[in-house]
Amino acid sequence: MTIDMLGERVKRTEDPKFITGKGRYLDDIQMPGMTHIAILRSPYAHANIRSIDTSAAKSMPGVIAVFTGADIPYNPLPMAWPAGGVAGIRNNINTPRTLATDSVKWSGEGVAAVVAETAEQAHDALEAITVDWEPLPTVVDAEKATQPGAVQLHENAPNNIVFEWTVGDKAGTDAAVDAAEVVVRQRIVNQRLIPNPMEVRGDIGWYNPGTDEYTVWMSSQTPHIQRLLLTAFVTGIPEHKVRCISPDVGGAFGTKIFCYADMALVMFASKAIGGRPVKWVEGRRESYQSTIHGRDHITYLEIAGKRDGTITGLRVKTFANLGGRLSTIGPGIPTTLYGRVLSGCYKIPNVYCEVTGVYTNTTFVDAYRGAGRPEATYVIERAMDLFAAEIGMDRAELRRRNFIAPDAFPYDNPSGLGTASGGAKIYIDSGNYEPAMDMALAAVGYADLAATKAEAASRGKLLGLGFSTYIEVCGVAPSKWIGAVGEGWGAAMWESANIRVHLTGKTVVTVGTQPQGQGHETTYAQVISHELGIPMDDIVIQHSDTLGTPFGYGSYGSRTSSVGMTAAIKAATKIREKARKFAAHMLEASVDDIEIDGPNYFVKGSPDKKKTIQEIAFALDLGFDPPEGMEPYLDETAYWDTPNCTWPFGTHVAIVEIDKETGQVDLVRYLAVDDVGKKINPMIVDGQLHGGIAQGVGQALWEGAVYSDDGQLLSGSMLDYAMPRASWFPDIELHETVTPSPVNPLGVKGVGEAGAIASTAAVSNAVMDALAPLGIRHLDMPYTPQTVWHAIQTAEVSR
Amino acid sequence: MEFSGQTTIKAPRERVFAFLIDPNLVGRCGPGVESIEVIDDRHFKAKAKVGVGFISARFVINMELAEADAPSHAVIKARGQAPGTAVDATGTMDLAPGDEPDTTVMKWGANVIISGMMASVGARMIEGTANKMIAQTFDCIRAKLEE
Amino acid sequence: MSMAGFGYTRPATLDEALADLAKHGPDAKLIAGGHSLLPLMKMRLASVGHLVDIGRLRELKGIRDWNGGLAIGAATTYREVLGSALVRDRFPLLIEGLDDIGDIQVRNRGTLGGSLAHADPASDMPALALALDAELLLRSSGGERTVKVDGFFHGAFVSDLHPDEVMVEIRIPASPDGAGTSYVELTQPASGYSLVGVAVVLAKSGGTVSHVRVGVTGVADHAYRASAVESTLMGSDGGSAAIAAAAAHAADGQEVNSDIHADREYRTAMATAFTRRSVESAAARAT
Repeated sequence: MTIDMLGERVKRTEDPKFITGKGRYLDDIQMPGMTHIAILRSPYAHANIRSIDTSAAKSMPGVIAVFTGADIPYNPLPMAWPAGGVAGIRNNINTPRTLATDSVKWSGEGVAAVVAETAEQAHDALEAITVDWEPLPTVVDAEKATQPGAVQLHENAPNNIVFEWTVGDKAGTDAAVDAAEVVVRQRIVNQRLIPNPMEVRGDIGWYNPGTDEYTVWMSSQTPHIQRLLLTAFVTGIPEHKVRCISPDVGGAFGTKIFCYADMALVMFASKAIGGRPVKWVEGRRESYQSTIHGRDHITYLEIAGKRDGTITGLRVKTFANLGGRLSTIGPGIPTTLYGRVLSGCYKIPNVYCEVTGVYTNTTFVDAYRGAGRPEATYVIERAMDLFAAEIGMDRAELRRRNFIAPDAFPYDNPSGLGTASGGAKIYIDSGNYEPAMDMALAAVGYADLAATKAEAASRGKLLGLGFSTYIEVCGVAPSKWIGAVGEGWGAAMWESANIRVHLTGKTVVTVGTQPQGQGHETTYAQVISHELGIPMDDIVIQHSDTLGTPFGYGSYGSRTSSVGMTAAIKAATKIREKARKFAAHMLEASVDDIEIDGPNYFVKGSPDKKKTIQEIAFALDLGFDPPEGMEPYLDETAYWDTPNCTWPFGTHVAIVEIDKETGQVDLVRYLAVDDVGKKINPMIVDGQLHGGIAQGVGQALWEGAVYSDDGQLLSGSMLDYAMPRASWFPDIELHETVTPSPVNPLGVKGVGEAGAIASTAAVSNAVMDALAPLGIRHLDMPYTPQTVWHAIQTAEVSR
Repeated sequence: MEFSGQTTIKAPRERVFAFLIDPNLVGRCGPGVESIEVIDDRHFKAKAKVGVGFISARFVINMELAEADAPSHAVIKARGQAPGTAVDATGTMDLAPGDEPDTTVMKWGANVIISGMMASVGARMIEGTANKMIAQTFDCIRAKLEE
Repeated sequence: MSMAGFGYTRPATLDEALADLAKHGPDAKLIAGGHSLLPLMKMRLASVGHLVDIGRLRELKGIRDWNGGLAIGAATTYREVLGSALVRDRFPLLIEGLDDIGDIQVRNRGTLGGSLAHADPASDMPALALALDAELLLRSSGGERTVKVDGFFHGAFVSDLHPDEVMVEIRIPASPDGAGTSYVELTQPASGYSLVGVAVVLAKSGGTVSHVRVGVTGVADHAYRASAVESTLMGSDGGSAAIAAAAAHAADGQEVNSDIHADREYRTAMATAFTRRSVESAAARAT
């Protein structure tokens, strides 16, 4: 008897290999004849390249080849998602080349590469390359970069502007702000973050001279997309001549969605040296400069409303720093995934947002866990607290008055989700925000906050409580909408799955999504086991290789459970239907009379007269006795284009204590109520929330990429970039409400990003609550001891 | 990074100036300098091992005497490269007669930009170290002139 | 990152190590635990021609009585020190100061002598050694000498240890009877090093402070004894007012560091705050 494990806390079947060092990550791959490539990176943040002398490097021990940009005929990397959806919008696009040819735009841009027998020899030879640089002035701040007289990075981007994008009703919002009883304004900075997956990136390129085909191993979230981009856009090599494989991927957080120069480089290099495999693996410091960063917004927010707490308008102007050149979907993040969800879970009648994408002499910026939605949540949740403080209303009460009511769904969001020029709209399809907030505030003891603060004060601590009532958009879809909004996403957003039940009953599921540590091998197996009644142990989930899996768009944006697993369920449904037909044939009954209970197919009313799915697979796959017209084998493929995104929501609460003398902030309590719909594996959901919360808290309290005015990344290694540590956290208290998503059969919504989206604003609001008695209204993150201490000093002087 | 200072040298201004524009003399005072190669009367090249303690890198430094208004003003520009790191520096020296006869007051300023590896992992010690090295350079100049 | 090539020997005895050092000259570098040196080599910030590995030399390991205090072999690991009943009994300050160094791997490999010789301006061990009045036994092929830790540190990563010398032993004299000790630090969250770390040994006699040592790390380009704090406290009643007055001198005479984590003003203020806290704690523990 198969036990149905759907919804159970099943231990991850991947974990034994990962925690005993038997995973096979990119750098674990060894191949006969393998060579190693190292990339010379610019020390300057902005410079022209006058010349590069590689002659000495070429004669270094072990060196096989040395390349500069001039050697490589490929196109620049593609811009797959320019800002769009607005009539007449222009994107002034500059993307990296495989190696820079005439100039560099950030410290860390690659300019030359050495292929050698060993990685050490390759790095040794880099030191023998001489570049004649012409250093240029730099700009690292997005707002300053747009000012007259700022250094210009690209000829086609006057004032360093990539695009000027708007969404919402300008006239209506201007009128609402002008007429409002109360308008609160604040400049807020959402600082730049360095993503830091545990496994850094790497690629292996292997050109097979016998077949004229390439195989590229890459630590990627999107092997199918990379094959498409690398062939059709960068190299011109026909798509069917390239196979992309992602081995085990040790974390990504968005960084491994994109097409990077090194992928093209290893392909080029392998062919150039006659077909030996070429491996590139970045170091951690190299990763800090050549893999994308996240966030980096400067925002001017204005929130308008009445003294009774009715919010009437939200006007936002954001400068989004996109780096020295654009990453694959850089412009899409601060536009579609930010501006279009700015009003969060609130019914705000007038919303208008302007986003200016900006080039600066910094590493490129793209999707990092949450991607646009944490930035939007930070804006609206800070805005709500600032407004509540301004009118003297309780923060929860203000939110309560402005939530989208549970009977108002589907809700057409005025900040732009429905502003597509034609075709499909997306809309917020479900939600029930107030119970989640009430549950969180009751659990944390919000009513007793004054007493809690007094107790902390008696210990000399400033205590603050903050919360954020967030919504999230997962599984961005459908393809029709993606195409209709004209936002250029050079891809559709459906997913795929194939299921084969072999004649032994063992089942292979191949999927187009791509795990990076989420536990897909476990959760897909839970779902398919539930669908087909086949034990989890008999199911293998295969992914990550363009040779063996159906085309899929990979995993990011919390889309795998809602989109990918629905495709798998569709394939399972096809399997069941075929099995039912064959069972009817075996049992000499009418198809309509066959009932299915787990693995058992039986004639209605006669459960003893049954065939199991394994028996059916055996007979059908052998094909000795097929019914007329039926093809052998239980092998079905399905594609699923979901009708809408999913809309998780919830309330996160943080309590902090601040040491006034030192400025140190301690997170003393963290509680979350999340509504992520139904759960396939609650243990994995908890883990995703824990990790996401830790990352979001990291932004509030510790993390931040710091550039000097000269464009040097001062937080250039883990010695200076502070990642959160487990010991700095209290136990995270997780609660739930469950509002199933109406757009997929599982009722799931996705949870990969929710923690990171909600927690930053919650902690920020908590710190500001703690400091409010000192007259401090807003501080920019991260709230390091130094930042908090200076603010306290300034506040005390001015009092 | 900007640094500046002032030092009084017990030597006449002409002699101080002559010292400052002579690569073989002034070059020897640069931190860690191992060799000097004069290219022409305005350009020279130095090799130096620069660092703190055993954290160090070998730089090849191209220097240019960018301004020389005898006997009061000189500007030296330097661009040094080491594996993964580049240093661009401009040193400005203004000389005035001191209060005592045969003494010179040298006001100096230095603008130093460090790029690459040393900037991104050495941030916590760069400013203090650069400050110290620059001070040592000007101390050395004074000491040699007063020998 | 990958290291540049280098030579490597692991001599069996201290004399062989000294001979190796002499043979390879200024390009040679000692390695014990390697947890400070190897990262720098991987970043190619330290160029080392030849490594002499002294991490397993038995002559440099162990903890023994030394005139009522302790002599700790320079290559003794943090882990060995933290696990030592002798250390726990005589110098709880070392336990308090060292038990959160790095992580378990670092404490398993990192050595006390390595930390002192490395002279990182933000390491904990130099402050502890200063507060404990430690002295160091240094040996070269030409002979041996002992130096006080006070005066051993010259600047960031620069100490009095000569290139041909090996640190053999750290000698810590017995603290005065009834001394209270304390180590408190403000940790830089990324690196775990101290932005400010203050080690204190304080004893009272007849109601007044009769002995006090204050070792400060993280504040200046090397760890130092806050002598103005000590002299203000000596002979005082060691009460809160006296401690606060003394702590105000924590950074006197120092060129205070400034970096992205703590600018000069903040670091100076924290030197005072953490000195006050550490002295308060040591005074409360003094009997």
